[in-house]
This record gives sequence, structure tokens and C-alpha cells, in this order.
Amino acid sequence: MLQFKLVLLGDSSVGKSSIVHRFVKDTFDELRESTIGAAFLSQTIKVESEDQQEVVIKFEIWDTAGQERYKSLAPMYYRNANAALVVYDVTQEDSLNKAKAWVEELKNKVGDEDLVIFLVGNKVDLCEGSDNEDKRAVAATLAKQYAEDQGLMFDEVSAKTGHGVKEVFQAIGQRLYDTKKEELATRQRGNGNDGQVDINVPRPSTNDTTGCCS
Amino acid sequence: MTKRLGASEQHNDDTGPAGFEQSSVMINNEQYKKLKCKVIDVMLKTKDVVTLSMLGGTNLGFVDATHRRLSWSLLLSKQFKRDAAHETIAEHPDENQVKLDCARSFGTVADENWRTRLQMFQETLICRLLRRNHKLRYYQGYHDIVSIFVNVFVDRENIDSNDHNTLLACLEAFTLLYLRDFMMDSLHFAIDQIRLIPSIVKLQDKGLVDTLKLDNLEPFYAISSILTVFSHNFKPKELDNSLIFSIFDFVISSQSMLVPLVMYSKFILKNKDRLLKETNHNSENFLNNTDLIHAVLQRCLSISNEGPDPQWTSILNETRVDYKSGRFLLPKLASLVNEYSPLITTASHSCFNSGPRVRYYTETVNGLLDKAIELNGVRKHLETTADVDKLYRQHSVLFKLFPKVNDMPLAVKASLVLLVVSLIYQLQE
Ligand SMILES: Nc1nc2c(ncn2[C@@H]2O[C@H](COP(=O)(O)OP(=O)(O)OP(=O)(O)O)[C@@H](O)[C@H]2O)c(=O)[nH]1
Ligand SMILES: [Mg+2]
Repeated sequence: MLQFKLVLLGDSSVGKSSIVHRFVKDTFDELRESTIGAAFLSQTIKVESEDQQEVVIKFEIWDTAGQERYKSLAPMYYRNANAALVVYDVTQEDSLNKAKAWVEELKNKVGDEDLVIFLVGNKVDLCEGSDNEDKRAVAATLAKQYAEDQGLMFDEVSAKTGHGVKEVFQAIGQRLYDTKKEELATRQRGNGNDGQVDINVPRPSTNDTTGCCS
Repeated sequence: MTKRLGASEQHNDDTGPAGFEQSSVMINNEQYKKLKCKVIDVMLKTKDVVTLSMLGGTNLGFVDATHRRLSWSLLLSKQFKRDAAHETIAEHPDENQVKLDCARSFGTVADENWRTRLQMFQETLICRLLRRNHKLRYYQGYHDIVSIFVNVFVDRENIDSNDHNTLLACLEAFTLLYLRDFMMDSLHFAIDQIRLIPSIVKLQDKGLVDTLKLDNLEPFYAISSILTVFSHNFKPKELDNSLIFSIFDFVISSQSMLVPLVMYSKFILKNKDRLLKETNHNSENFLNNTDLIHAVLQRCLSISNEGPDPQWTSILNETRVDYKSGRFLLPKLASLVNEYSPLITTASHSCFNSGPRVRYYTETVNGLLDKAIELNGVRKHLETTADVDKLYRQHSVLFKLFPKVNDMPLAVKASLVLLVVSLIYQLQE
């Protein structure tokens, strides 16, 4: 089994927790409470290898709080993440700006070239149907263009209906698997490790150096 | 009667789960509640805050919403006296965040209509408080604390009344005396507070801290518990008897924000075996130790929330016993938290008999708040704990020499500084 760490970032109330719960429990709760600090969840998916074999991937997911003051905790969670889901709300223009700021920060602070950043516009259900088109505040084309320029993956989803949510995680899993498999193949040949692969060995181990209260 | 109950309480410290017992006569829970309510009534009538605050730190706290309202109100009004409030209508910059959080609040209330009314009430209340205290910054999680106060003070009969001044006064006292560290424009003072947790654990079980390397990782796992005094973790289920109300009863009775920190430390100690087992077992499943510990503790906490939880009941009980007998084991706070922190000023009691209670006035508390905001401006830019330690040490010298220094008028303070300086000069000669 492969293990990847994924972090969710984005403004308060854009639907980060709702997306995670849709992915992990396949439920939507209008009353999802605000996140304080960060919350941990995990979920596994299957991706396909070149030879059509199923590979199980486990996501270690960190859902962070969106209020500005909690921003200072974020490095702790994205520091050695393999993927970041940067979420905005398609009905809130400013939330895209916040998302862009997160993308900037990730690019500046995370050394890992292979970090997968997925930009997600949430709450598309709110602007479905001709009556509701005026609710949309961020055009899909605009966000898509930005994502392309920055080399990010991009899609629009709805945590409420579930539309597109699984696909986001599936795409991230596949991408991570594809980038890591070369690395894995060489190493697996090297140490003859069967199955349980620690994919993190070559990554800079930055944990536990944040020293506090000695 | 006061005396006798007070005395028997002391003798029974470590015995029955109640800790509040009628000598050796066994009584059942209902009788206990009835009796306790009667005693609380007497204390309320005679305004005996000492006995009342002792009762708040015993099994079931203030028992029910009615007694809780009156008790919190009396205790908090003795702890804080506010000048005539100047209500402003100027919007507070955090009102939008308040709206976002209140709209997701009271998730355990099944009746949708009632829930919406509570949410609206909560939003109005928080905004009113912020407008009256413009310097406070709202944080996500503060609304969880407010929901506890709303649960205690508001019911279907009184929600539409336009006099919720007692509730507002209580919430304001609690906010200003207990929560200032969290209501800066950054999390730094809150982080200083949670960093005490591994230090407290270490005083009791150094081995555990070393094995888990607890003092080498940021204790962010405790953020939601400490910032919300556990109200984010334990949602009230049954109005009168939920654990969370007893926790607040105890915190208010002891006038101590050390209580949540001590409780969290006990929680870690109590889950030692599990932590050791799970960290061994899961070490391959996590990318680093910080994530692992955080995840395991989060799981332990959420299990606690699934039903009536004996573990937390005993954590609360042990903390009460320690408090009564002066057995809080704490590191030296002065260099670890800011000198204006509630932990060393307005909510700093570490023991039931730790001297007479001070009543704080608006001027003093505002002074502490202003100083804290100023210091936070400096603290924000410090990276290492060594720098923070230095800042707090420097700052606290004057404070240590004259513990009441913050209550003094500026002129007196200035002459004190002169006095100290001239003394030092004389000593040099
Ligand atoms: N219509 C609609 N509402 C959504 C959707 N996703 C989330 N919401 C609602 O938006 C609000 C915020 O959702 P959360 O998942 O709590 O947002 P968050 O990003 O985790 O917010 P913080 O924890 O404050 O950072 C909730 O009331 C959700 O019910 C969606 O896809 N469609
Ligand atoms: Mg959330």
C-alpha cells in the first residue's frame, strides 16, 4: 500500500471539510461545523498501474481551518505533504484570491518539485440551472486559465451533490502514483521490500525540528 | 451549615466520586441533586461566593441550568465589575467570520426552527460583545464557547425577551478575564499556552515525553480543546448534566484558565498506553511523529465524545481534587507565557486556597489588554522559543518585583522604576 499526505487549504467556509467528508464518508451535512486548528481523516482509493494491476493508495488527509489567524499553523500540515487541495467557492470572488495566495505560499515554501497542487472550485450546485447563473462569481474559464498558467490541476465540484469530488482524489492519486512509480521501482528492486513501501525515505525529513518548550 | 459542608468536603477529597457528600450517609443521585440545589440556593441568597465556588468544583457542578445561571452570574460579577458600557454601532471587522461560524453552530439541536433561532441569537450576541469591546479579535472556536453560555442562559421562554443583559455581562466577564490571550490578532499567545501542556506532562512522566518526543513537536493537537475550553470537543447533549457544563462550572468557580491545560495533560497521561501502542503500531503509516500523535489524540478524543465518558469524568474529578489540595504541578509560567496572560493575572488560580480573590475593574482589564496587544505585536515576529523566553523574561522583571504593577497608575509605576534604578545604583557603589 502506498501512503500519501494531502492537505486542504482555502478560505473559511468554502467547503473544505464538506469535500473531505464527501470523499471519506460520502455524506453531506449542511451543519458541518467550523474547523478549529486542523482535523485528520484518512481514506484509501485504488489506482491502476501500467500493467492494469490495482494499487491501493491511502491518503492521510489534513483538513485545516480557514480563518486567517490559523494560517500560521498551515506550514505544519503542508510541510511534507505530497498533495494540496486548494479550495475556493465559485460564488465568492474573494475566495479565489485567497486560493491564489495559498498557491503562492506553497510554491515559495514547499521545496518538493513533485508537490501536486489541485485547485478546486466548490459549490457549483448553487449556480446550476439558468435561474442561478448570476450566483456564480468566478468564471470557470478564468480559474482554469490561472491553473494552467501555474501548472496546477483544476476542476469544479460540489460537496453537496458529490459532483466531481471522487474524481479529484482519484486524479491526485493517479498523478502521485505515476510520479512516484519510477522512484519506487528502483528502490523496490534495491531492497526487495514486498508490498509495504516507505515512499518517504528520499524526502527531506523536516518534521520534529520545529523545537518548542524544551 | 456552610461550615459543616465545607469541612466534610475537605475530608472527603479523595474518597467518593461525589466529593460532596453528606458525612457518611449514602444518598442516590436524585437526592444528591436535590440536596445540592438547596445548598446552592442558600449560598446564592447569602452571596457566599467562597462556598459557592467550592460547590462548583464538585460532582455535577451547579446541577441544572437554573442554578447554573444564577451561580455563574454571581461568581462572575464578583470577579469582574464593568463600568457603564459604551455600546457602539460601528461594525467590528470580524463580524463576517462570526456569521460564517454561527450559521454552522448548534449542530446537535434537532429542531431546525429552534436551531436557526439559536444561531441568530448567538450571532447577535457575539457581534454585540465585539462592538462593545472593539479591541478584541474574534477567533473560530470562540463561538463554541458562546454556545455553551447560550445553552445555559437561553430557553424557549426567554429567547424573545429583550433583556439578556445578565448573559451579556457573564459572557463579557468570562471573555475579558479568561480569554484575552486567544483574542489577539494572531495565535501566538494561544500557542504559548498549549506549549505548557508537554511541560506539565513532563513534570509527571518524563519518560513518556521523551519516548514520544512530545517536547520536540508543536502541540497543535490541543488547539481546539484549549481555545474552546473543550466546548468544540464535547457538545452538550442533555441540557443539565453534560460534562461540558461541569467543566465550565469548575473553570469559573476556580477562576482559572490553568484548568483546561491541566485537564489536557491528564488526558495525555491517561492515554499513555494507547499512545505508546498506537505510535508503535502506526509509525509506518504516518509521515512524521507530529501527524501521528495528533491523529491518535484526535481519535482518543472523538471516542470520548460518543457517549457518557468515564475517562473525562475522572479527569475532571482528579483535576478538582488537585486544585483543592494545591497539587497542580506547573512549570514556571513567567518565562513561558506573557506577563499579562490570564494565566498569571485574571484567571490564574492554581489552588482553592491561593489567597483572597481579586475583583477586577474595567480599567485594569483594559490596561492588561492594551499591554498584551502591544507585546503580541513584538511576539509575532519572534521565531524561536529562546527569543520568546527572553522577551517574556525581560518583560516580567518589573512585574515579578511588583505583582500589582499593572493595577497601578502610570505615575506610581514610573516612580517605582526610578526607585528600582536608584537602588541598583546604590548597590553597585
Ligand atoms: N450549496 C453548497 N453548500 C456547500 C457545499 N460545500 C459546503 N457547503 C456549505 O458551506 C458551508 C461551509 O462548509 P465547510 O465544509 O464547513 O467549510 P470549510 O472550508 O471547512 O470552513 P472552515 O472550517 O471554516 O475553514 C457549510 O454550511 C456547508 O454546508 C456545496 O458544495 N454546495
Ligand atoms: Mg472546515
